[in-house]
Amino acid sequence: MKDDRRLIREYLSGSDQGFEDLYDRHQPALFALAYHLLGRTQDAEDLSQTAWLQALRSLAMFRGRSSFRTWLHAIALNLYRHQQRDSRLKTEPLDPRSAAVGGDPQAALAQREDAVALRAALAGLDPRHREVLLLHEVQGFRYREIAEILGCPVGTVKSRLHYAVAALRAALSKSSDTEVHYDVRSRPVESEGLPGPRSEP
Amino acid sequence: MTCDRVQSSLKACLDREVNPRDRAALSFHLSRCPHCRAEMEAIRMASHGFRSLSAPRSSDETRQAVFEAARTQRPSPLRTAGRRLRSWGLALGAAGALLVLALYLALRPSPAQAALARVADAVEAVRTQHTVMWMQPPGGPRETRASWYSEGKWRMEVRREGQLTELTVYDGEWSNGYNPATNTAYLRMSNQPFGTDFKGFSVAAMLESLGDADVKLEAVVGREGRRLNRFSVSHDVERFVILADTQTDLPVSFEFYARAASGWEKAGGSEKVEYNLPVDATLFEFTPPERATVVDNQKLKEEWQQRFDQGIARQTVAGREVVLRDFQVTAVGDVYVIWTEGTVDPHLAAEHYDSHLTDSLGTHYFHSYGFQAWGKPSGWFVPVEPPAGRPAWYELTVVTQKRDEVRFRITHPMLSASADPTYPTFKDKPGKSAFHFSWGVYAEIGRAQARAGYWKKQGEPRRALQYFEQATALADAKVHRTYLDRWTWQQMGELYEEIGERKKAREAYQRGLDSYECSSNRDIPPEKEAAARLRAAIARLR
Repeated sequence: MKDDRRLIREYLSGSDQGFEDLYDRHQPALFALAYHLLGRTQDAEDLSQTAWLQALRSLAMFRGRSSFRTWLHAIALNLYRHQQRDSRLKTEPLDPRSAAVGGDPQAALAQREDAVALRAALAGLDPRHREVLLLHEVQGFRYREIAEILGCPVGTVKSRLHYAVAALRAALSKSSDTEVHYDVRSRPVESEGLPGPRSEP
Repeated sequence: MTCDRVQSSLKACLDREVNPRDRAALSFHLSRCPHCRAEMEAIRMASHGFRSLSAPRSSDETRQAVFEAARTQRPSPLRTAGRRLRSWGLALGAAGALLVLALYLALRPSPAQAALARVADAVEAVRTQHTVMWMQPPGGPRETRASWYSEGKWRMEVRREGQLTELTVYDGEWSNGYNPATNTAYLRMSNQPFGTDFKGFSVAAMLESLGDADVKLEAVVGREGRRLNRFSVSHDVERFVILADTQTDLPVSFEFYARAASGWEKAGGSEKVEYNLPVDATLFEFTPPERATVVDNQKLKEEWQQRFDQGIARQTVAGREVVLRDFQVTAVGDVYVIWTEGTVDPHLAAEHYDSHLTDSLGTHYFHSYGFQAWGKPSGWFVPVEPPAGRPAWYELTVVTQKRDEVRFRITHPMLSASADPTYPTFKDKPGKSAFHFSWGVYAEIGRAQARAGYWKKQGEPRRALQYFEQATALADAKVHRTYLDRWTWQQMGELYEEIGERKKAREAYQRGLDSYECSSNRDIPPEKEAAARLRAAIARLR
């Protein structure tokens, strides 16, 4: 598999395929981040498209000190922050259920029951906590990469994640207060003899 | 470590973002502190929910629009820079241009960083590379690592006292290895050479692993008619010195230093560094030696998935199904268990550490921290004494997230041939892997520490010391002198005092102080206080 820098070099020297491979490699994750940040498919399409266009314009300046993936996510996150700043007065808070009930069949498919509570909790978090959680838990970035994306020290990422998880837990426990608590204890039983491993060769 | 300090690092620990020494300290604290373990489980569960988050697929329209832009607006380096400068100039005028210049000067890397970046780029661009280096952490064993690189392929040989201890060959698709000690060959498909985070033996990879290191261009030195830049890259407990040719920007030698109690101590360096010389292509071919046991990770993965999906046993309690997915007994009698219950429910903190194990021989097991399996509830159970034989059955009591109890009796566990459990590597599923923080010798040390902790709690200082001594001997011989943390040595000192061994107590406290001096935690107030107590204890026993 060609690495990102090679694909970029190929594209800059005239190969469209280089760019297409780069896009196909990174768009799913970038789009997922945009979707989880914005909660609406169309907004996520717009944000990821704008990020790619901006990346295209700056591609020749990309020196590869960070990975392309980190760089691309940093662009998207900057755009998102600008967008949020510009539209703070005219938009409503992020609705965690909007994607599921908004008549977008693809989004509805993607939405799973387990995720509803989490989306609700995420939506209620401080945006800085939401960003760092998504970058780490969903996008799988290491702390150092998140520090590059957000332009802050690694220690800040560490503490921000610590507080983000605490806030998420608090939000989740609030939403689970309505759960029924069982008080049943099972009796010890023998394993039901399902075919299990016997031994290693 | 105090509970506050541990809890602020739990998330980073779960994410494997703490250094091995701190991880060992955390691991040990967690093995003794149910409160912190519960907290850790709660944090782990809070992260579980993210696996259920999915997003729809991006549309083909977006793809086409971006591709169209890529075709029509292909940038070239000069054109882009020129256009940007012109547009800035036009938009901002003279005052603005000055501002841009000031910003550029503030943001650009230091000259040392820029020069080192050139070194990194030069190494990245080489066609072939052959490096031989030696490494010896303070008090640890000396080993030699030889590596060859050519066109995306790697070979690495590790030797101790001339004997091969590890061989890895990456041919661009398969990362295969051989361990002569166990005569086992490992076959693994991989899009990266060696381990999960491996980026190559380049300076760029080293810099990346160092993160926010302090980079200095110390001097320009002359050697054999060449002018060499001497870089120093320091990071917390490590320091690297690199000599790079000013003409080619390629490093000609490098040295490693580890932080020791007395300052920086040399811990390794290059013996040979060669670039762009022909490399024998057969070096990148891997054939398992005859009669070697071959572990095929691909096959293991399929079998594992099948076994995991099927489960060993299942029971339903309060409407939730608990499935025992894996139950492995290692050659030293440790038991590794994975179970699941219902759907993953991020609302609930699990109490996995209330789960316990017994067997037909009445063995007492210590539920040790340090094992994670695909984010599932799991356990590493260590017998508090080496087991006398193989039990006829095991009984596992699982405490569910709703605090119901379910018991499983296991009569035919899977047996691992080695001291470690047998798990495949799921490289195609990032973040989803089974690991325990300790593997191999680290597991041996962890096991001895767990046993020592157990017997100390039982009020048996001599028995506890026997295991602590085992742990320290292992760390000294196989890892390095400062591997064990301040806390371990402090515990040992207290135990020696308890049995009247003042000299040994003082030595243990002194080694605790050494570990503290080499720790990246040494500026943290509770650790400073602990160090002061160690100094006082040493003075008292003198």
